[in-house]
Amino acid sequence: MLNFDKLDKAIHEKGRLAIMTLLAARPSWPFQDLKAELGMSDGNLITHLRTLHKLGFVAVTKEVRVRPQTSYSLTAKGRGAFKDYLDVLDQIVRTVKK
Amino acid sequence: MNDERSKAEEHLRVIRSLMERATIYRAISAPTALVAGLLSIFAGGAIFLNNETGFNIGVQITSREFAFVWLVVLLISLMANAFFIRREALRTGRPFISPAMKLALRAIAPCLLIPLSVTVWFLQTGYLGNQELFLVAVCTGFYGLALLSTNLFAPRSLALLGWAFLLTSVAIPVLDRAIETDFSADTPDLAMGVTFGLYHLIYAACTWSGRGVLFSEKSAAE
Repeated sequence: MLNFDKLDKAIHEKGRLAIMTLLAARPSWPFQDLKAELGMSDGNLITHLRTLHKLGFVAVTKEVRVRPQTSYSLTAKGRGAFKDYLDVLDQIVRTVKK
Repeated sequence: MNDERSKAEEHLRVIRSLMERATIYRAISAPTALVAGLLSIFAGGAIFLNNETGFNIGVQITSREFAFVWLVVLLISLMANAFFIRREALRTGRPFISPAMKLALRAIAPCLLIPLSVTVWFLQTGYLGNQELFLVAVCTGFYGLALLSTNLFAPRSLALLGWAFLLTSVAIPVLDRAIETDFSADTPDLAMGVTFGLYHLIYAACTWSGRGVLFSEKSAAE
């Protein structure tokens, strides 16, 4: 029996799902690169990243090289949550196929 | 239930597409390879015909002119690549210099330093010693290494192209000594025509439809 409540609602939102996917693909993403890749506005992207950061899914690194740069990466908790989310999605597809 | 399934499938499609965009970058598109391949075949063929047959401009192509011809081919191919990348960026609404492109350029740049310095040396003094074959071996070898440097995020077809260039650069000096033909003086030109011409055309043909259907387009990082 499937339990759709298992789907993490924080990740299930389209924008945050895209962010989590990109963060899972590479060790770290500068804010500007994330913005360019996703085509989101600054405000929208910051809001989603704050939500994920509050949940402990995303780590923030602030560096000052030539100019200040903020990078984002997945925490171990975030990676685990993303994996669980994928497993549930996979389970839904498989179960309904039967 | 079916609604949940289609939603789940849609989410998985989005995830897969984003993952591929973030982890796979094709530094050379099929149209660019086609342009580079055709130009190289044309340039190599023109030099060969000029030096070996009656279709000529009356004088042999000198070492320096040989290098200039191939620099022009490189320049036009780079411009074509920029054009195709920009067209694709406009079509998909993504930036011309994408994060993946920056990543690829950072990987490729160190591999281009030696061929660049050898080319400058060749144009200054190297041409006096008829070192075309050395120049060709360096350019093909480091071009192959440049393609292989993107191996972690490039499709498999690009890595195969890199290996083809690298192995050919190793074989060029060996084959040149082993095989004596009437066209030995044209070995550098023929080597450029075969590698930059023929290899690029094969790559373009294999990746044109479906962007790499003939190969398993899987990131090596997976």
